[in-house]
Amino acid sequence: MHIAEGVLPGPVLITGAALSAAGVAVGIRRLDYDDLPRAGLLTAAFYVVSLIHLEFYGVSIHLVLNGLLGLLLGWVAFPAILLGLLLQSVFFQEGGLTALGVNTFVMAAPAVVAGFVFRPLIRSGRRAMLLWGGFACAFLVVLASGVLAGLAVMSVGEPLHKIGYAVMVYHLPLAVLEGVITAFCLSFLHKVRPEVLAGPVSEASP
Amino acid sequence: MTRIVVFVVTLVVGATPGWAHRLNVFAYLEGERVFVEARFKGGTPAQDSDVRVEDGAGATLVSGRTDREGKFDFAVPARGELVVIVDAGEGHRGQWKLSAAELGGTSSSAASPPPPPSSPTAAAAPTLDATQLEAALERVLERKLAPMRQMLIEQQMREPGWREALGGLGWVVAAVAAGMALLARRKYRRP
Repeated sequence: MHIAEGVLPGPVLITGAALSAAGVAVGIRRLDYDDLPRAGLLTAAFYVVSLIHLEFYGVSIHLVLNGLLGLLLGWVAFPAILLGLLLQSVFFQEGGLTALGVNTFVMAAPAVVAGFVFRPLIRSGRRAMLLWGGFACAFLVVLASGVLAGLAVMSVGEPLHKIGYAVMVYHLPLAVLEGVITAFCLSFLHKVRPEVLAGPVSEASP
Repeated sequence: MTRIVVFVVTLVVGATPGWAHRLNVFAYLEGERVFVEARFKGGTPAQDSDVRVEDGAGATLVSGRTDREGKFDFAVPARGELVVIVDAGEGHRGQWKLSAAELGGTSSSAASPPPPPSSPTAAAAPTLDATQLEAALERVLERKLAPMRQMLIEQQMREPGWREALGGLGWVVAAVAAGMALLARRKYRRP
């Protein structure tokens, strides 16, 4: 999902940057003072978690946690993911700086959409709904991000079967893993800080 | 809040720092061939990936694919600067630049005529001619330099660790602090 430097052509990079800039602008406008600690904590988790790799039948994958960010931050996931990716690019050489806009959009857009769709399930207060909702949200977000990244590299003529292979081999196991970890995080938060699950203050339902 | 912090910290500390999908490419000259190694962060070889060798102007000189060990080699196509680009698909890509000076050394010496003997006595005494001597020297140097090259590769492929992770976290803290400073005004000025 972290697309490297020099892979994508200019128009794709510019489109990605413009879409991400719009998302980040909405996120920053909606950012509430009371959301800041949570946003910072999740940005830090997003940033560091990419260092943790897991080997899965010879394929190395690392967690992204963008589903969790979408659920708990809403639009604020855009600036959070942008900052996380910027730092990953600078400190871990992961993902190109010029591809930052595309990478941000690839990871944040599905997260924001899924956050809105699945938040009612999470808020319902029932444990089963919480676990399955969290799993489904993270699972779908990872697959959607994989597909978006695939579409981006399709612009440089990457054949469709190779992209399909990448989504199946890299993203499917990751999606399952992210689903389980997100469900686990939510159940933990449900016990410890249930008010966090209501979503960001700025998007709280009246 | 402290319990969440503890949770995140244990999640992070409990796991081993490792690698994601940065693609490291390393290329070196040995004799008249260039050897390329491509590995993902952490050491998994980039198998069966596209390799493209460009000259300084961006024209493709050689193309091929890496083997199961992520390796590829080719005969030096030109003496100028070479850029070796490995593309493992799905946006994973890395490159390594070989400067003209690096390539010029061996390939030009093989082509240049053997230097004239400096003095009649020196020419008479040794039984080795210039090309044999050069080949022998190259073997010895290769043996001596191989471990150093390995060190270089390892340096180049060094994985980010705690230093990088903590450095980045500092910036996240700074961003939150800056956000708080800016938003506090808006929040507390409100009647």
